[in-house]
Amino acid sequence: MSSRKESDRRKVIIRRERLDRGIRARSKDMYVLMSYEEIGYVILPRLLPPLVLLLFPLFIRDQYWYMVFFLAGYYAIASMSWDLLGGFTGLISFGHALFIGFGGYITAILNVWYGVPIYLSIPLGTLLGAGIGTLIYFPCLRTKGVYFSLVSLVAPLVLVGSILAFAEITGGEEGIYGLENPLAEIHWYYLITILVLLTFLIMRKIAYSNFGLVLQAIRDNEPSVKISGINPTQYKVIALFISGLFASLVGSIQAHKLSFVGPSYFYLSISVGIITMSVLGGVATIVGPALGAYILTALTEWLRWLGSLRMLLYGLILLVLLVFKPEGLYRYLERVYQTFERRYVEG
Amino acid sequence: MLPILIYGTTLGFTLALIAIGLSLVFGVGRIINFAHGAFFAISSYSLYLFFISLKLSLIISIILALVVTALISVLMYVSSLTRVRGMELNEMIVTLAFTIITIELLRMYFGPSPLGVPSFMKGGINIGGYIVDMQRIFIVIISIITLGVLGFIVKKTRIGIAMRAVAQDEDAAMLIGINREHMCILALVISAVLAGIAGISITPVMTASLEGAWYALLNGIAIVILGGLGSLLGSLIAAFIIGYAEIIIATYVSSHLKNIVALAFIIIILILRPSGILGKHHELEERV
Amino acid sequence: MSIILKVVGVTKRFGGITAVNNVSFDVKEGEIIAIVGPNGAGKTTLLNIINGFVKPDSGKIYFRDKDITGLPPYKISELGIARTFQTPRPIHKLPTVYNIIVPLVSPRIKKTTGWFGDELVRAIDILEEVGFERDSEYLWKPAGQLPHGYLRRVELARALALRPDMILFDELFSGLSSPEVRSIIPLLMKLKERGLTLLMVEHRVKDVSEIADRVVVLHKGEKIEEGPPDVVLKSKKVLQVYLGVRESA
Ligand SMILES: Nc1ncnc2c1ncn2[C@@H]1O[C@H](COP(=O)(O)OP(=O)(O)O)[C@@H](O)[C@H]1O
Ligand SMILES: [Mg+2]
Repeated sequence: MSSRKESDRRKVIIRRERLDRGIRARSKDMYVLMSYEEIGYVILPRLLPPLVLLLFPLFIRDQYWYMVFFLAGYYAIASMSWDLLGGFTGLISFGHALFIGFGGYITAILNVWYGVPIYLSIPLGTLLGAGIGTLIYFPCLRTKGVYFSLVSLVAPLVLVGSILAFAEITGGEEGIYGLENPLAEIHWYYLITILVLLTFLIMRKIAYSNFGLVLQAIRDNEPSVKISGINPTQYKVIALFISGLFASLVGSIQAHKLSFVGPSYFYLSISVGIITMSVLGGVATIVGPALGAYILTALTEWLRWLGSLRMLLYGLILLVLLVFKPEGLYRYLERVYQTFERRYVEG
Repeated sequence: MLPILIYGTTLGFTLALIAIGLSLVFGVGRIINFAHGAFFAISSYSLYLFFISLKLSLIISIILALVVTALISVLMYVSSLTRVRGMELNEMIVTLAFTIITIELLRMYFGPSPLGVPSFMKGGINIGGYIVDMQRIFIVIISIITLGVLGFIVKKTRIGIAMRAVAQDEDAAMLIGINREHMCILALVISAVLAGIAGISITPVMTASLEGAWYALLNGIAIVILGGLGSLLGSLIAAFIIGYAEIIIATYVSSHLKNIVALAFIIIILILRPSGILGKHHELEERV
Repeated sequence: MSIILKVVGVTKRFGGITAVNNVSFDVKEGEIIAIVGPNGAGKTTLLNIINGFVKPDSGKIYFRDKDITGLPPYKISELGIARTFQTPRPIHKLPTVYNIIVPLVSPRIKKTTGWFGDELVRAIDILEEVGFERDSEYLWKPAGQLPHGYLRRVELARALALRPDMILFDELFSGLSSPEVRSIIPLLMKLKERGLTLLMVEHRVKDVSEIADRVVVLHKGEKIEEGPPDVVLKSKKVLQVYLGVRESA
């Protein structure tokens, strides 16, 4: 929130000076970068991560790393989408994999059974996946937040079972193979990385907009929103659909990249991974969950010998973080950075 | 028809024990306890440990399994839940994390495959030409006794009345000197013991399995929503509705669709009557 | 003057308690009407029924001859009934200014003013009207960190931001010092001059005797008296309730 707050304060000050003195705002109150240190201070942390992500394939030519960072990007998008719901709207989803699964399966069915080409199957799969997921959750958005959490835990667990029941369409246990995959590993990497950056910009725009303000108000205090003449359910449905779009998108992309969908798309381990990354990076910060996704994916990769104990790791991280340090990494880094600013840049 | 009645009834009783505990903890402590399924699995595996691995006598094994389950529930509360009390969302994440940790530890120690435990009693009873095994009879009898005792505790004892007072009006209960935290722990222990009794008695029929934890949790959640959050009687009724429905679907349609019954009921009840079968509507109204 | 709000035979039970029992009264357009009664009299419940948080077991509410019984709260707010809460309920984590932006982006404002935009300045204007300094740090602090007196003003500002025709105040004065109360009264009179209808729930008759045109007294969910403040103050029934004097039979 801090960044919208700062720019709004500046706006108010500038406007008043115009009114009071009838002259143009003096530059003092505008955000003028005075020195190279300040430029570095303001721009570097914003520019460095995207540059690293976009340029690292020039230096490292290893398919393995493209794969790992594809996965990290996949989780980053899913976690940022989770954050819009969990962090900003107060709807904690314990089954975000539901959207990933729907996106993936619908894309696969369109592409493999109906021969819809990839440039249509991904957008269609994304839209339909988000739409169906939203429809399933719609009834629990009218009541208190806990109902959504309860249902979001139950729904993917249950749907995995029904995938097996409709084996003719869904391929049952084996899933569906043979989706069109025209791209090389590095292209997939760039696709997902650009989408991560876009998702970040879009999510931040939404979070700092008036729409995002109302979502946060719903999270903090739903009755107050209702007496402000706003229908919270409507906002929740829209937030859920937007969030679902991004989760569903990574499912669709994953399906084409692996040429495969299966029940594993719905697995609880994915949903729990998303929550863990968001909590690790810091909920309600948008960038935090993405950060968490990159860190945790790298960590999991590094600890590959753990094998199926990954879940144990997630569980322990979650428990320890929530009990001892619920603010998350991003807010911590931000604080450290601001202390640094005060000492070196201003002082 | 008869098998459906028999299997549905046993399943209904087991689910009732599971769901009533979940509902009790929500009613008294306002905690959505995602670790409830873990309690169920812990009791099953403890029974296996004491009865099969350590070859203790059946009665001792059952008692030890219940004690272990109850102790772990207290451990969860004092070690982590107290620190996030009142933050509904963090409570849910913490209890889910606890479930995951439990399941993974069980997987490490006991391995991924289900473990069988022999029936407590051999033989069966002929009901209308259909042989019902003694284990299922045992489940029904022990469940009825447990529910009876629970009903007595909640309705007649001082502790039970104190618990209901907290459930009805926290502030008023605190004013007359009831310790909310104690009541909360007590409700959690009772719920763990109920889940334990369900888990132990059904293990010979279902095996001790890791999936059991999720099965218990998701059905528990479905029943609690269907019956009305916090309503014990509603949970009891909903448990039988879902129990019979699952058996009917598994028999006539597909056993894979068994679980979707739970989700379907949740969605239908939330559309038609969000407060649940017996939940009071004003629970959903704003109290300002 | 025309009747803006009509409450007809409203009853609400919670389990064994009858919180509101067959209460009827009318509110005229542009007046200040007070509802008073001791703790637990059912005042808040009555407001909850009017603004849609609680569905009455029986009875009807009409707003400008339109039946609004059982409409959801956001619809009722959209029609032009704003309210405040007895315990202030700010959006804790959001800065005070943004608390006021929430009603400013509601459908009612879009409908009445035709456009959004510049809600930031409007929010600050409204906060200034209820007594915040324009430059105050409080405007940009998370609302949860404001002192109690300011929270009441935030409640008031949120209600005003909706540009309502009628405001329901739930114990606006409780917990405020008498200078604070005196500083709010001119604002209420100004609202009245603008033609707003105010319904004030308060504890005691004398809290509102200065400003109210009419007083309705509730006791144990029932309406026991209605009339101008000076008449109600002298009413036997009301004295009994407040002084605990019991009448035989
Ligand atoms: N949501 C609710 N559930 C149960 N009882 C309630 C609820 N809301 C109010 N009550 C009860 O209704 C009665 C009237 O309360 P209230 O309207 O708050 O009185 P007042 O505002 O006049 O002090 C009280 O006994 C209170 O406990
Ligand atoms: Mg009140």
